[in-house]
Amino acid sequence: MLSIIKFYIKQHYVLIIACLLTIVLDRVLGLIRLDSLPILLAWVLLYQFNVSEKEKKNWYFFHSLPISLSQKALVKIIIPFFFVLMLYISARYTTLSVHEKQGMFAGYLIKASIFVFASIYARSIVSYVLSCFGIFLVVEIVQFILVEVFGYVGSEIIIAITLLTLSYIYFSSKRIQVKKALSIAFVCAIPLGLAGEAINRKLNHWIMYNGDIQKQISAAVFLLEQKDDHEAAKHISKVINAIPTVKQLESVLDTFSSSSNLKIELSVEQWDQIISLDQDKREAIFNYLRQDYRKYQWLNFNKIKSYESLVFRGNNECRTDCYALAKLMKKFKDEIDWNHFSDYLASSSLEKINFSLTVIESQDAPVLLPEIFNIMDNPSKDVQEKVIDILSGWTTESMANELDKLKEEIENDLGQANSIKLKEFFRAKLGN
Amino acid sequence: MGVLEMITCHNINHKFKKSKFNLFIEQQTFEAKGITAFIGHNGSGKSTMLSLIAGIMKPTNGFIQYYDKDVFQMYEKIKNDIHLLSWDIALYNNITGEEQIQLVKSISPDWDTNVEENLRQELRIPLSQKILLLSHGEEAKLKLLISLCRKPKVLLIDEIANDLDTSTRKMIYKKLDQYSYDNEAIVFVATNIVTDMERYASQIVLIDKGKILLNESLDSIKLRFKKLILRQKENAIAKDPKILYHTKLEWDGQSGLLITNNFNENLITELLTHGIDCELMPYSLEEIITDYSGKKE
Repeated sequence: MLSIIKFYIKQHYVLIIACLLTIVLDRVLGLIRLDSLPILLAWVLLYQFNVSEKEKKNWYFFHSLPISLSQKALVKIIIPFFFVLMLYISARYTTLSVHEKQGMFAGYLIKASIFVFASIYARSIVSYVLSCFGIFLVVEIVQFILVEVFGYVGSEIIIAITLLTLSYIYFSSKRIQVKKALSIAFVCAIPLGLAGEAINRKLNHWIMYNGDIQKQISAAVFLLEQKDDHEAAKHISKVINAIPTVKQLESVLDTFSSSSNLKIELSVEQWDQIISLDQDKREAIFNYLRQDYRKYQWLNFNKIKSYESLVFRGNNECRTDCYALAKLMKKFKDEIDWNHFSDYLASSSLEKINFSLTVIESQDAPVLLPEIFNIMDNPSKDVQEKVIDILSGWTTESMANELDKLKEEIENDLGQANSIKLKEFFRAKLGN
Repeated sequence: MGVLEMITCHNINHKFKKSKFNLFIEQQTFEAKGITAFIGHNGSGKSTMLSLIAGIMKPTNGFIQYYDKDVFQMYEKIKNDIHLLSWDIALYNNITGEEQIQLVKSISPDWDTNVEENLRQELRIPLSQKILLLSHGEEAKLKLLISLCRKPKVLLIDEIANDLDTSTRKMIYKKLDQYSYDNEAIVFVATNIVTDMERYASQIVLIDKGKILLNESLDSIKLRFKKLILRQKENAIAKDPKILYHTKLEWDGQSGLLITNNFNENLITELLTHGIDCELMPYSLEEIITDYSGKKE
């Protein structure tokens, strides 16, 4: 048996080395940046290993060798299956974010089994290509049905076992009893699938409360994606504020943003706690809230106003979290208290002025025009450009009354204004 | 267990999906020691028949047994006993003959090293060469060596010996014949070279258009099929006597030619009764087959 395995390794060592080498070049040395290449090579290897043997008429010779059908199936089905699975994992697994890994592993089971089954079933390169696509389409349909019954991991275990059983049936030229083999496969696969799903859930529950924070989050997110885990929904609130990096936090928040069903069930106090994190994380959270603010009943203008104390540092600079908060505030048109911003615009703090202008920006109708005109002579280029942007967004008609009232004052201010662009802008607006 | 009814075909009907060819074999048994020759034109069904006996193809209807085992269903259990050597079954081209032998030897518990040594000397195959570089004849010898060392009980040779030179071919047929008797094995040879079979085969199976026309020992065929020159004596009873037991009878004046597939004492008696002298003519297997299949057609 060992000599047969050695023989096949010797026969296909070029492709086997190519598969492994591309992984090393890609993953270890980072030289090719093409994780599909080892997978493609594995696909070619399976063609050489099984389909090409039929084309070259070696298939029967292998079948006639004095080893049992199970041993032959080990060489032609099981070892290639695990080899392709290993390649998939090596090529792709670590490039994924932590919470994507569990779902993807189950997907690799299916893809590896599709490759193997197609290579056993097909008799030529054309039928190999067509078989891969055909089987993939059928599997997608079956999986769509099974996912509702067995969940992600469970359905994929069932499909992989079924495909490997079909490979065995075709490998034996249907000498074994097809109905019996499929029945045994289903009888084994269904409990395995159910058990796989249950074990996966239990494992994720365990991980959610143990191990490092990164794994806890991935487990919680995975469970939340299953849509039926309230415990995970509650637990994530406990772990989310301990997410170590902004990138991970953004990744988690992206997951929530992309699904309309998912909601981080945090209390107001928990949100306050999270928002008191560092500047970059705060930005990520404000941006997340900006997208999904309607999910959170407690979020209103006054609540957001309370966060200003976190983003105003008194250093004349509106930083990224300051802008993120202002953009979040813009969403609450009906609740905004403009007097609040009038004071900010009148202040000498550039961070407050920029904050206010960001909130005012893209308002449909003109607001706080006198205050805006008053800051035209502000030496900050950021402020001047923002003023132009804001005023450009409003029509001359909508500002007519205010412009008439302030014409003289504006003209005086224009004389003092530092920006040529600003002067040109107002001359155009005032018709001079 | 003896060799009796080693292979039994039970009303085989095999249809190919993409061809109109239809193989139909009624109840047949193959039990003779020695070489059983499958003779027929190209496309007559010889190779299909061998593939079915080898158990690598499943007949559309019917089944074939090796003793009491269905050759297709029980293929894994009997594959060490039944070997098919055919151009449709290739060795691995990119290894040497020696490597191929060592591969099979390493996994064959019944490998006979004495047979191996003997065949290595007699067949003189350039085993250090890659199989890709071997001639057809050398590849055929290598296949034969690999097979015979595993001592199969049924050896099916599908035209692969046709590419060997005459002396090697004769040497191999002699060896196969000997092998069959020594090991109580049955050797099937599908071939068009009838002259070889006339010398080495013990059983002749004539196949034409997917049907077996004849399955009989060579000795029996030789006894039954005769060609005779007839000469009417002067006191003959009739100028155009009605003679029974003949396949073909042509008169040219006082002499005639009679071909029969049922030669026996009664025919001689009948001829003498009609005042006809007869003389046996040489009648080769090739002629017999040509005449017989022509008549059946």
